[in-house]
Order: sequence, then structure tokens, then C-alpha cells
Amino acid sequence: MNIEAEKMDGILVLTPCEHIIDASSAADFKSQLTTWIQEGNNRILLDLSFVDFIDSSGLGAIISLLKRLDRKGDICLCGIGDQVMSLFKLTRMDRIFHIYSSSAEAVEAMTAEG
Amino acid sequence: MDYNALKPLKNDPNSLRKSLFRHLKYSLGKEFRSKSTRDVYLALTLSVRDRLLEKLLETEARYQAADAKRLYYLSMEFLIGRSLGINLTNLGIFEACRTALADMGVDLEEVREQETDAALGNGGLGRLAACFLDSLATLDYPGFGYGIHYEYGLFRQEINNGYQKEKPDHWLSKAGPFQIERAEESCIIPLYGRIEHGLDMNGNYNPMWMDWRVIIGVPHDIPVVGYGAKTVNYLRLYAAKPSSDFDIQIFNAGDYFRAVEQKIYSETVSKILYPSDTVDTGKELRLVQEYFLVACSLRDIIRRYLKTHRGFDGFPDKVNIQMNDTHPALAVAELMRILVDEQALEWELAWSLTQKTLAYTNHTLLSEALEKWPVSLLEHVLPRHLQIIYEINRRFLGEIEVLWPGDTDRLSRMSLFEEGAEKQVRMAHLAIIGSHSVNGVSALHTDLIKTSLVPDFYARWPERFNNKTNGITQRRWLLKANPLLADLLKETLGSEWITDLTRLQGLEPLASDSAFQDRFRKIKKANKEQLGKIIYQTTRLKINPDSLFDIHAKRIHEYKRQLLNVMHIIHEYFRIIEDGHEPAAPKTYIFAGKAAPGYWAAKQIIKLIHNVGDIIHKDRRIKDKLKVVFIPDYRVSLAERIIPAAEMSEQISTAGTEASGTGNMKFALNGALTIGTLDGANVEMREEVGEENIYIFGLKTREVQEMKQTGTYRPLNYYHEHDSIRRVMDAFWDNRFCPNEPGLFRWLYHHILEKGDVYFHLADFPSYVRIHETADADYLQIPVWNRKAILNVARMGKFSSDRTISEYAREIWDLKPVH
Repeated sequence: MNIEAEKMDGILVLTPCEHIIDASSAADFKSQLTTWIQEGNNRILLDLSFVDFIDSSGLGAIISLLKRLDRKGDICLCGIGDQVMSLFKLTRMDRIFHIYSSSAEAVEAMTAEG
Repeated sequence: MDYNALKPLKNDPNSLRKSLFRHLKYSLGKEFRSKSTRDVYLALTLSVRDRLLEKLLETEARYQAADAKRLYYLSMEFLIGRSLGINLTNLGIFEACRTALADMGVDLEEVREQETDAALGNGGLGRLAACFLDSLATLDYPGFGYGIHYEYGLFRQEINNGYQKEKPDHWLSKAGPFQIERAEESCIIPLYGRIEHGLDMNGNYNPMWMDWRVIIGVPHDIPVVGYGAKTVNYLRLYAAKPSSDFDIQIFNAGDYFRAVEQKIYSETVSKILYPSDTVDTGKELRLVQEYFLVACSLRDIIRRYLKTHRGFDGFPDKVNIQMNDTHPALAVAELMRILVDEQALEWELAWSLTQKTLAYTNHTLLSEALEKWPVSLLEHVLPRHLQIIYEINRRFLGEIEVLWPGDTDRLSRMSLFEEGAEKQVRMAHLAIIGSHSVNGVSALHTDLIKTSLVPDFYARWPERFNNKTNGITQRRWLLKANPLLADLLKETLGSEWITDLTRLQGLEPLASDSAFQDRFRKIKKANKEQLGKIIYQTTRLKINPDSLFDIHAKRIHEYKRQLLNVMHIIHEYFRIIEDGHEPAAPKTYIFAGKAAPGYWAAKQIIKLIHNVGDIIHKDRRIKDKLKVVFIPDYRVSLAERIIPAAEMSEQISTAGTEASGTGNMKFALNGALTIGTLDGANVEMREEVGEENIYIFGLKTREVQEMKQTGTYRPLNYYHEHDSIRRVMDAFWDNRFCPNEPGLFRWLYHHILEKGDVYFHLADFPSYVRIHETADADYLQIPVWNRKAILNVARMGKFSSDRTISEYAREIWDLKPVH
């Protein structure tokens, strides 16, 4: 899976460049996210602007990211479309992540929290 | 050209013919000279659909302008039958179409025969739903049906050596193009998975439903036009598709079967209607089907609501949902899940909204027939819903504890969970708790719900319980099915009865008029002759149209007591050949109905009917005094031919077993006299038509209940005390009706005499014989019989589904028509 990575104000912004994150790509997705964390990145913004659909394995990969950080970091989300948001709400994952409409807004908020 | 400048379609024969030609050419790519009857049927259906869609869009615009409250009728079954004829009737273009086709040298009746029934239901419950849609549209109510788009409907019944054989009913392959697929309104439905327990950002418990599989629900809309063509609603049926056709990666990895596995599983969900009209618990696929219906429906309902409204405070003011039996009862948990999990409402508010939105119709009197799902299965398929049901139960039992402190038996009886070897969820309790209304389907049934079935819930919420006696649509069941009688009624009374069935009361002064009786009788004779032709075509039996047509047409079930009827036929046979009795008039006993494939006893009864018929027909001593016919593959279109020909209608369920019945109403509306027990809606029919115009016999509900509770019923006593009974029962033992298959019917002997005769056949047999004798004597007095039959027709006004729906709208849904 192609994931663009960019550092902004100390926050690692990861942007999966896929329209669908499902069973066929979730394992690679999870693996790459894990690698980023193992390299010491603990303030992560996941930008899902390109993603139109994510299934339960993709959502599970994001949850595993949170578990790996184990409260020793922060992970936020941004750019979530209606379809993906409905799946976040269905799973109640929208209650455990801060979700912003854009990366700029997210970075500003995360920076302010310091 | 402006879209809104499109002129409304015209319905004169020329315009219809033009429309037909256009579809023949541009939709079907056929030349006129090479058209087949099927091509004409398809082109006609498309032309009719054009008109339906025009009205559907107008109707929707009207609803939106009024911001109308909408009613959604959720049902696992819609027994629609054929659509072309009723669409032509309700659009008011039947005769115009007949003329248009005749001018082309085509017979409309031949074209109509091209259509197969949409048999998306088992029996009364599914047909009730279909009648309700007709009435909702005719009365201009914003009411919509939601169901499942089964690929295979109820099986086709073939008879082989007297035995039922089930054949698949792939109705879709022959279905006309009335339905429209709306792929753009598909929805994603999650299933299975697990709960991940966690905390939200505020430190509160946050259960997350993870690892689910996804099925896509694709809606297909069938327009439903009301009589007069003012309103066209829709029936939305969901087909299940996989989330992706193929997992191409898995396929590329060489595992073809695993790649297809998901696809096959997903499509299985809407593959086939379960062919049983009783409970099928334990079957995971059925649970998945029920959730699929509920999830797709609620998603669609909420999506539509949120297009024009913000927030959910006003949701019950704009939406009401009726659950047809407990099959959609998961709507309680699903609506709570959507409101609490997805819309982040507080539990108490969500619960209040849920109760105000949902209403439940019960169709069952037998507590053992109430739907229950194993907790383990729910945990596997719908883990989040199970959590929600636990929470609903915890709060509910907390209330009950406050109201009835220390009454642990009550808590146990009322709990959503039934303890036992396998813990189960009681779906009826869930439906009751989650609804603002619980109704039965006849006065007797509703009374029994309150006093016997769920008395604890009645004690808690007496205001929720109400009766809505079933009804039938006179448009299909009289106007369309019996055009000769309908024409006579129109000529005599005008056409108001078509939308106000109480107008049939105008016939009362003519009930004894000899000229009117003569016309009435001739119509009945003509209908009997038509049915005789069908019987000959399907069974090769020649029937005397001057014999009394005594018809027992419904699902084959022990509680409906086709066996009692057969026992009486055997009694009549013995009376003729052994007692030298000369019957009052020749009689033709006609049976029709399907048995659930796994219901052994019901299938044996079908075999018995055939064997009894064979023996009787081969017996020269009978001549043509008695005939026994079983017409195969009973379905809506066949019922439309059978019912108008009936003179006697058998409605003989054991008292306290049939919630209402609706076949009883259809027969009486078409001039058949009812022979029946005081069960279901028969009680109210007697009140309406007068006890002198109906043949009532047998034990009453209370008597049956008392005997059951005290254990005082002794079938053997009846066997010993009544020669007539003994003769019949011995015939089962002595292989009189299975000389080539000895022992075949001995199970009946054991079943009735040794296993308690659960449905009281022997107890009701003597009075059944007597009432038949009374009816036979009346039949010979032609003016007397005709007067009774005409009064039945005149007094069936109460049993229109228009009345039923008006009551639902006023008393349950607070629904207003949008004219």
C-alpha cells in the first residue's frame, strides 16, 4: 500500500493513497503503521481523505495502532468522508479518536495540545 | 425541452397501443410481426410501469410538499401474486388495454397468463401485508412495504402418487419488469464480528463492534397503485450482494474457492424464502435474513428522514414502523444501536424514540410457536445487538422489580431471556417492550393475547394492547377475481363499494328477490364451470358443476384440520355405501394448499386426501354423488379462481388456534357460506352476517382450554360412544384407503386415539356432521341458500382491509392521508 508520510510540526502525517482499505490491503497497512511507531513516532495524524471505504480489517489495523501506542502517544484522524465516518460511528470508533475535517486543523489542534 | 413540460401519459386505447409498440421496438428490439405473446406481455408491463412511475413521482412530490409522516411496514413476507391485472384495474385502464390489444389481434387474458405469481410469502401473514399495501395506497396514505427480494419464492407444489413434491420457484426468471433496481441506494450491512471492550475519550465504557463481515443490500422497488390511481407507493425489497464480486487477490493467489465463498455466502441471504409458516429457530440463515431486512430498512428510513430533518426529536412524528409478527423484532435493538452508537443519543432518549416509532402485530396464539433465538447464535451473528438486548432487559426488569417487588416469578416470566438448557431471547417480549402498540388480528385473538399469551405485559401496559381485525382488499378479491359478480354489483349498487365495502349493504333488500337471486346463482354456476375446467386441466378429474362445491383452501396444517374434513368425507362415503343413504345433493369436496417441506404429518394428510379420492372415485356405488379433488400448487392466482366458485367455505380450525384467518373473509365476500368454528375472525363474521347465515359448530375456545388444563379430554371415549367415529377410525387401521400401501394411515389411529388428539378432531366430529347435514338440507332450498349467500356478500363490509388500515392509521400510527 502506498502511504505518503510527512512531518509537520513534529507530527507524522500519514496519508494512505488508496480508495479502499480492506482485507486485501489491511495487513500491509497495519505493518507499515507499526513500523512508523517502532521508529519512534508517537504523534500521528492519519489523513483518510483518499479513502472511500474501509472494512473491519482496516478499522482493526487503526485500533491496533492505538494499542501499540498504549497511551504513550497520540493518534488523530482527519479527512474522513461520509461513508467511512458512518463505519466509524457504527463501530463507535469515533468516540476514541479525535477526528478533524482537515490536516491543517488537526495539526493546529495537536500542536496546541502540545 | 423542460423536464417538467413532459405531458402526462394518456390512457386511451390508441395511446396505450402506441406505448406498447414503442416498448416492443425500443425496449425489446422486436418487430411487430414476429412478436410472441410473451413479448406483448413484457411490452404491456413496461407501458403500465411508465404510468405507475409517473404517478409514483407525483405522489412522492406530494408527500415531500406536505412533509408527510410515513408508515413503513416491515415484513419478511409479501404474498403479492400477479401484478398486471390489479395494476390495470387500479389504474382504471383495464378495458382500454383490452381494446388496445384486441385491435392488435391479441387477447388480454392470454397476455395476463404469461405472468407468474410473486410468491414471496407462505400464507396469511404474507398476503395480509400485500392487502395492506393496496389499502394504504387506495386511501392515499404514505405507507410503504419493506421486505426481502427472495430469488426463490415459495416452492411450486407438484403431486406425485398423492405425495407433495417441492420444486423451486425461480420467479425472477419469469418476472415481469415491474420492479426497478435502485443500486444507488444500496446499503452496507455488517454481520458477525466481536466486541472490543474499551474506554472512550471521556473514560466511559465504549464497546466497539469489530471484525464484521459486510453484505450489501440492494433495493428493488415495486410500485403499488391505489384504486383510482391517485397514489402510487412502493414495496421496497432488498437483495443481498457481496461487498465485492471477487476478492481478486485471493483469486490471484490461486484459491478460487475461497474467493467465491464470500460471494456465495452473501448472495445466500436473499436466495430463498423459508417455506414454513411456523417457527424456524436455530437456523442461522433465517436470523441473518431477519437482521438484513431490519438493517436495510432502518438505514433507508433514517437516510430519508435526515434528508429533510435535523436531529431525532421529531423522528416518531415523521416515521412509524409496523413489525409484522416478531420476524422484524430486531428493529428494536437495531434502532437503539443506530441512535445510541451512530447518532450518539443518550440511552433514555433513544429508548423513548424507539418505543414511539415501533409497533408490533402478533399473529400467534400458541406460546410454543413464539419466536426465540439462542443467545449463542445472537452472540455469534450480532454481538453488539445482544449487548443492547441485555441492557434493555436490565433496565426493563429494574422497572418491573419496582412495580412488583419480590415477585421473582414475574421477572422470570417477563424477562427477554428464557433460561433453560440453551438460553434464548424471547423476540415477542422484545417486540412488546420496544413498541408503543401491540395488536392482535381479531377480537378473540386480542383477548387471548391479553389473558393467556402475555398477561404480564398486559398488566404492565394495558394501554398498549389493541385489536385490529384483519381485512382483505375487495379490489383483488372481488373486483378482479370475480368480474361477473363485480359487474352485477356495479350494475345494482354503483361503484362506491370498490372503495367503501360497507356499501354492499345495499344488497340486503334484494337478498330474497327472485330475479336477483337468479342472476347471482348463474354467476356462481359460471364460476364453478371455470373452476371445473381448471380442475380437469390439472387433475384430469371431471367435476359436476351442479354439485355443491365445498372448498377447503389454505396451508395444510393439523390445527386447520383438513383431517377433520377428510374424516367427514369418509363418513359420508360410508353412509352411502354401507347405510344406503342417498345424499341430498351431489358434492364436490375441493382441497388446496401446501405443506411445509419438513412437516411430515401435513404431507401425509395430502396423501390421505388423494387416496380417499381415488377409492371414492373408483367405487361405482358412488356414481357422481361424491367427488374429492386436490388442486395442486395453491397460490394467489389460483385462489382468485377457486374462491369465486365456492359455495361452502371450510374454516374449521380448533377454537383458539387461528389468530384470524383471511381466507374466511374472501370466500364469504364471494358468496360462499361458511362452515366453521368460533375461532379467529369467524366470531366477528358471525356477528356481522347473522348466526342464521353461517354454520357454526364445535367446541368454543374456553371449552378447549378447560379440557386442556384439566386433562379431561379422552378421545377413546368418543371412539367408543360414536359409531360414526369408530367406523372412520377403524378405516384408517384397516387400510380401507390404502389397500396397496398397508399400514400407511395407521399413524392417524395412534395419533388421535393414543396421543391425545391434540386438535380435538373427535370432540368436534359429531357437531361437524350435524352442521353439514343442516347445510345440505338448506342447499336444496335454493331461495334459502341464495338468500344466505347474498346476505353474506352484503354484510362483509367490515372485513375490508381499508377498514383495518384506517384503524391502524388512526389508533396506532397517527397517520394522515395526503390527497
